[in-house]
Amino acid sequence: MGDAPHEVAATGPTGGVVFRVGEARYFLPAAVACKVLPMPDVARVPGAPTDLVGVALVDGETVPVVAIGELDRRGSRRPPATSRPRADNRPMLVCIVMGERVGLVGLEILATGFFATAEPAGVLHGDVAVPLFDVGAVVARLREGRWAV
Amino acid sequence: MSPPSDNNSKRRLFRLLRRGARTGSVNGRSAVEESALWNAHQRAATAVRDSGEAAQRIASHVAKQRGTVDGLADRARAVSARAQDLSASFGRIIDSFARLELVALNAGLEGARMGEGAAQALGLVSDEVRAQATRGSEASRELSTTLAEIGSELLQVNASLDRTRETAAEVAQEAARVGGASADAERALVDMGDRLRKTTGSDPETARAIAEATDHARALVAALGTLSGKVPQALVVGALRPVLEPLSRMLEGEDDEQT
Repeated sequence: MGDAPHEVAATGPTGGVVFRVGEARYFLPAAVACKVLPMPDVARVPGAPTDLVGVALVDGETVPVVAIGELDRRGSRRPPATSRPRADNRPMLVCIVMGERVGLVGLEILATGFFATAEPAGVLHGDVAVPLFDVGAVVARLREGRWAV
Repeated sequence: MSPPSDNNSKRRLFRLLRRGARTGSVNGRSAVEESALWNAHQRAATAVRDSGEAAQRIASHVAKQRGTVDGLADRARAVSARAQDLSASFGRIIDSFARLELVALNAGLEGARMGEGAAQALGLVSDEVRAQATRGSEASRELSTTLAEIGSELLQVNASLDRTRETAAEVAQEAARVGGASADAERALVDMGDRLRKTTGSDPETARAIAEATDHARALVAALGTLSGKVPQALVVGALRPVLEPLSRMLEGEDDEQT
């Protein structure tokens, strides 16, 4: 995945969110991406895979929080968030996967709204083709992962 | 020709003057030395008194300066504390702008769910809000950085003021030491003056008067020496007699006392 070459056929617009993980950009349609929230307080789950940051309360419901990018670690020596691009205080994107809500963190939201569709799958953000983010695969990997308990 | 009594008188006067010139050279020298000694003593006493007063003035100025520096340090600390408060406020403002950005993003996402027609208007507002929120956030971040730099400068100012305060304390100590030394020197000079008075049997005023009288007498003898041989002796003696007779009597009396 990542930024694709520019020669992509654009068709009708698709609504959703474009975000960045590291240097790569991804798209999630509005049917999957529910809302963007500030990074919530997360309760760690003992023995969970490293990608599973923990669980958080969203609208009174417990939601698993999954890191799809780098997060600041505890005790990090990086300067405070006010003087650099946000990391841990970056927002959480809440998605619905197979009827379940999942929070994705470690990403930076670039834009929301309608984007021109780019074949075979994805949208155009500016003049860059952005692929569809496979959130189902992330959740499946988490389910298949080895738990330490 | 002058009468014999006049001749006798003249002889006596010149004899006295000659003798006075011979014996007076030792006493006169001693008087001059005593006068110089008292003068030096007087100068030393004045200098020591001046230095003691100067030390007191320095101590007073340093105390005032220290008060000013303390006031400055207090103000710098207060400003530093205010800067920290402001920095925290800027942090809250930056958070608020971040929340506003999220609101704009959610508006765009909601518009995307509602359909293309409705999303266009909502998207425009969302983009504008997000752009303004980003600008506000960046401006706040710059202000926060500047404020942090000011806080850092203030810390350096505080450190400099601390060093100034230490230096002022050292100067005050040195001034106190100079004051103490001046007081000691003044006491020693008073003691020296007492001992000088006992040793020489004179005091500064008497020594000065004797030295002046000696100078005048020496000048008179020199003047008489200049006149000798040029002006008739009778004329000189006639002119000087009214002035010198009391002196002659005084010297004669002293001479008698000595013999």
